[in-house]
Formats: sequence, structure tokens, C-alpha cells
Amino acid sequence: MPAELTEVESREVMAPELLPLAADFVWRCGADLRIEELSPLDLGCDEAVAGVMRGIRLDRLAQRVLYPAQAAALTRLVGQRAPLRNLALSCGIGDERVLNLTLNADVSHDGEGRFSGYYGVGKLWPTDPFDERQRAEMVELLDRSEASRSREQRLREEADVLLESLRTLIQPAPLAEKCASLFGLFGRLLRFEEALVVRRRSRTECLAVVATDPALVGMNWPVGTVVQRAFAGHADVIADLSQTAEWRELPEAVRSRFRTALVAPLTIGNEAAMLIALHGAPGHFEASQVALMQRLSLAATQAFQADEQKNVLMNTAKLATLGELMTVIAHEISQPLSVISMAVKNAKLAIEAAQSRGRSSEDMPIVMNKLDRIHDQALRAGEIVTAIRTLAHPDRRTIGLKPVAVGEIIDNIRNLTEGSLRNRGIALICEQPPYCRPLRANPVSLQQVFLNLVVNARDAITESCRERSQAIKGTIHITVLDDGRSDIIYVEIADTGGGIPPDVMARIFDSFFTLKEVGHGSGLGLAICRTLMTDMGGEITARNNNMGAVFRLEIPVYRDDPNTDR
Amino acid sequence: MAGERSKAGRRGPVLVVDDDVALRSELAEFLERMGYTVLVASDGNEALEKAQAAHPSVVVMDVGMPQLDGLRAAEILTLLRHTEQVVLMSGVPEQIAAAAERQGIAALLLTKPIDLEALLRIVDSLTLTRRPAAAGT
Repeated sequence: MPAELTEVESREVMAPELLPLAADFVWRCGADLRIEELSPLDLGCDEAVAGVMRGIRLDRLAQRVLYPAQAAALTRLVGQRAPLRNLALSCGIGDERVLNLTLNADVSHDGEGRFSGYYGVGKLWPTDPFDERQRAEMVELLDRSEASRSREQRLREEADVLLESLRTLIQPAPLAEKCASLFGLFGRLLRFEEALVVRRRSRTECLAVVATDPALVGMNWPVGTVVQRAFAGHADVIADLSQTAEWRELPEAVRSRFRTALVAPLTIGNEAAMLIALHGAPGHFEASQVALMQRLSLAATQAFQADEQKNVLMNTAKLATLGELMTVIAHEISQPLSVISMAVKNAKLAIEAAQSRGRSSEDMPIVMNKLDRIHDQALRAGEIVTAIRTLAHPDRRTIGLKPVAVGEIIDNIRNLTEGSLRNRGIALICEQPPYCRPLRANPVSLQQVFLNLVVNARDAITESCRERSQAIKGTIHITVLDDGRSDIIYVEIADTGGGIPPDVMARIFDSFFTLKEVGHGSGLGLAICRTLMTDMGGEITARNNNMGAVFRLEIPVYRDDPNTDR
Repeated sequence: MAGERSKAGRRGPVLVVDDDVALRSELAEFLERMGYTVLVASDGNEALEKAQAAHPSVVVMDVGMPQLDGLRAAEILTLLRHTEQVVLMSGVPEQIAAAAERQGIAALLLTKPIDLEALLRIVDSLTLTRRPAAAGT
């Protein structure tokens, strides 16, 4: 091995202040901090030591160091890419052998001044004999590092659970499902057997509204110290439930299975409630778990809150849509009624005229024609009423998901909006494949989404024409795309209203965000569309094309499989 | 009544404007049966052209129409004195009344569904004051 050659080369590049140091080896690492080169300078340097050091990365070395302070120092210096000066390190290298060394190094730079690694010298210090005091110290240190590692592990697990629960919270899902996943997540950390949310029903009655075990839902939790403390906002460990005053009032189902509880307060709306985790072994829960339990109750509170807000949002938006469409509806219904009354009048006049001439047969075709027209117009009015009724149906959730023909929805929308579109000179063009598979959707929700998008498109076109002081003119294109194979049918609703400004594109689905004038939009329309779509397992997205905005709906295809049908 | 009217000389002309063909034709037919000469138009622009050419005594016009809506058309017709009186028809008269007031149009406003007797009384009275000599009685 050409040790001398290496030595000479190293010395040439070494900073002058490193040279006088007593050194046993020279070393060098690249920008990735891997020690590429380590050459002994004299015989006092064990080649085995060089073997251990060579190829190891400085940041990995920090992890193998026995003393935390050393590891912190090395990590900090390496992180700052600062020179290393007499940095003392002790690493375990197996067989109870400890390597003690000091490192000195300067930062090297490449031709353009970028960090390219370290170069320097190192000295080994004798480690033997290994006295008992040192051994005990090391064992203690190892234990301590083990403990801190497991604490770190637990913290990481907690963080994972919290992150996952946040994800659960923001995902649109029924309340019961959300609670079930929250309980599942926290159950990994709290290790309870069952958990439930107890809500006050009346002064003397508290019912379990959500529970991990369905058998516990609806159970009456007696009002006693546990409930009172929880409702007052205290979180507790109840080491032994049988010591509480209300033990004997608890149902047999609880008494036979559980002895210990972890309790945290919860709020549902403005109401106090409590969260209880149960376990069979007395003393199972520890005081340190109370904080985590409070986290869970906070998450559950948010889940309940989101659920209640959503209901409020739904109703507000439905009202807003209906209010906005009131004028359209009035116009739509009065139109056929006008035609009917006129046709009746004209038919009557025709018959009267014929009678006065004594030849009633001549006017028969006119009268028949009128009757046909009356019939058509009555049907037209009826269709509008049907469309409104579907829209205003109060029990959106009870209908559930069923096969829906997209053509029917589009026909309904056409009936509802045709008049207001025609009045503005806006054309509604629908393109659908000759055969389109049924959608798995809630017809009321889907109709509301379509209606919202068409009304929005109409308003966008009107507004953009008005801004340019042009006569209103535009097209709304509804395109149904069914490739016949995938699980999704796409419906695109495109307008020629100039599009959505790019800076607000990300916010258009937010509640209370609107581009319309004050008093013309609630800012709930698209928020509600998104909620309705995700409720149905679909999706809604928006983009611009060169003419205007394009909203794309992704709706699952209905499959005749009882497992997928809820 | 109908017979009496149809024997009388034709009065008018009355211009009927509505984009809904069913409504337009029934209304025109009714007014013709009542003894009026009737012109029809399907939107505001066409109404302006016909009114300029024929100077109808009355224009009975829908409010919600493509291209040029009824309110704007009424404004122009009155300004240019193409007609004496505009009668507007709407399913939402409250809103239209407010809008008409803002635009300074003294239009007569009829609620849809149209009460034909009321419409006839209005049209009759308007044409009578204009051309009393042409009255059928």
C-alpha cells in the first residue's frame, strides 16, 4: 500500500493549522459525507480501525456514537458544514470494544466554491483497559438511549395517529364511519377494549350515541360522578369503576366486561357529552394517557361539528337554489298556462262561430288542433312541477344510491332551465352516446348538481356579455362520456362565459366563495355540489378551455351487484 | 259578442311579440277573432322592425325574450314613437314593474297566465281612444 504517497498528497492539501496536531491517520470524505479515504500514518494505527471507519458516512457515525452530546455536536457541525476541531467520539464497534478517537477536518470546496466534503486528520486514543466504572456508564447510556428511542417511537406513532385522524376528519363520510375510524386509530395507542360517546338526552338520561361495539349503542349511562365530572370538562382515569357510586346502576353488559375507564369531555354542538374508553383489567389505563384521550375527544368533537354544519349547509344551499329559481319557475309555469287558457278561449270562439253559421264540422280540425295543444302544454307544466318536486324533496339521504339514467336528469334540467336560457339567447346543447350505462347516484343530488352548474354557466355567460356590452349570446354544452368499460362515467358541462380567473380557481369549491354580485349568489352552490358528489362516491373538478369554464363530473357506474348497493 | 265583432271593420293593427310560438299564435288568433289586424314578431328586434313599418296602435309583448328583451324594446318603441302604447306580459310582474320604473317606461303590465278579458278591455280602450270612428258599435 503506498501509504507514503497518500501522506504526501494529503499533506499538500491540508490546512496548515492541522499539520502540527498529533495524528494517527488522514481521512477525506466527499459531498455525500461518506469517508472515501482513510490512511494510517504510523504503526500505532490499527488497520482494523481503518476498516471500520472506511466507507461509513459521518452522519451514520453520529448514530453509532455512544454519548448523545458527541452525536449532537457531530451532527450540528456536519449540518453546518463547519470545520471539525478536536471532536472527540466514542463508538461501539462490537465485541464490547470501544473506539475512542478525535477528528479534525477542514471543509473542502470544488472549483466553483460548492461544498465537496471534508479532509483532515484523526487520532486514536487507547481504550484498554476497560474498567468497570466505564462499563456501567456505558450500559446506563445504552439503556437511556434505548428508552429515548422507544419514546421517540411512541411519539412518532402518536403523530401518525393524529395525522391519520385529521385525514379521517376531512374526508367526507357519514358520522358513524368517521367515529369508527377515529376509535380504530386511537385504539392502537390507548389500547381500550371498547369506546363510546355518551350524550345527554334529558336531565336524568344519558345515552351512548356512538360505540365501537354496536351492542352498546343506545345504552343508558347513569348520571353520577363520572358523567358530572366529564360534563364539567374534566378528563379522568377511573381506575376501578366498581368503586363509583353509579356502578350498580350500570347495565349488566358493562359490569360483566369492564372494570376501568378513561373519560374525556366532548361537545356536540353546544351540548356537553363525554367520551369513555373501557377495559376489563382494573388499573389498565395510566394518567399519562389522559392527554391522548383528550386529543381523541377533540377529534370526535370536530367530526360531530362537521356533521352538523354539513346539514345546515345543505338546507341553506337548497333554499338559495330554490329562491334563485323561483322567478324561473313562475315564468315556466305561467307560460303553458297562458297558452292553455288562450287555446281554450279560441276553441270556444271557433265553435261559437261555427254554430252561428250552422256548420260546426268545418271548424272541427281547428278545435282538435287546440285540444292537442292544450294537452301538450298541460304536460309541459306537469314536467316542470315534477322537476321542482324532485329538487325540493326533503329526504335526500333516505333515497340512497340507485341506478339513474343520465338522460332523464338532463331532460329535467332542460325543462327547468329552458325558458330562462332561451330568454337570454343561450343555447343548451346536450351530447350523449346512444347508449349510456346507468349511473350509481342519488337522482335528487345529481339533479341539484346539474342544475347548479347550468345556472352558474348561464350567469357566467350573461355576466361576460354584459361586461363587454354585447348582446347576450352563448352556449352551454353538456357532454356525457361513457367508454363502456371503466367504472366511471364523465359528464362535462362547458360554457362560453370566459372561464374562471386562474387566481380563484383553487377556491371556487369553498363555501361562501362567489364571483357573482352581492345578492346574486350565496357562494354555497359549488361547495354543495362537491359535497353531494363526494357523498355519492363521485368527484367534481373544474378547468378552463379557450371559451369558458368546464366542470367535469365523475360519477360511478351502477353495477348490478348487491354488495355495492347500499 | 264574437259575431258582432267579426262583422265590424278591422281595427288595429296590434303587434304581438313573444318568443314562444304557441303563445304567440294563440294570442294572435284570439285578437284576430276579436276583430283586430294582428302582426306577430318573435323577439324585440323583429318587433322594432315591424313597428317601424306598421306603427301599430298597441304592442303586446313578452318581457323575457332573446336578443332584445321586452323592457328594452318597449323603451325604444316609446322613444321612437313607433307605437302609442306597449302592454307587457310577464310571469313575475313585481320584478318587472320595479325594473320598468327604473327605466322610466310607463308600460301596462299584465300577469301571466294572461286574463284574456282584461287584455281585451285594455286593447279595446287603447284603440278606442285612438280611433273612436273605427269602433264596431
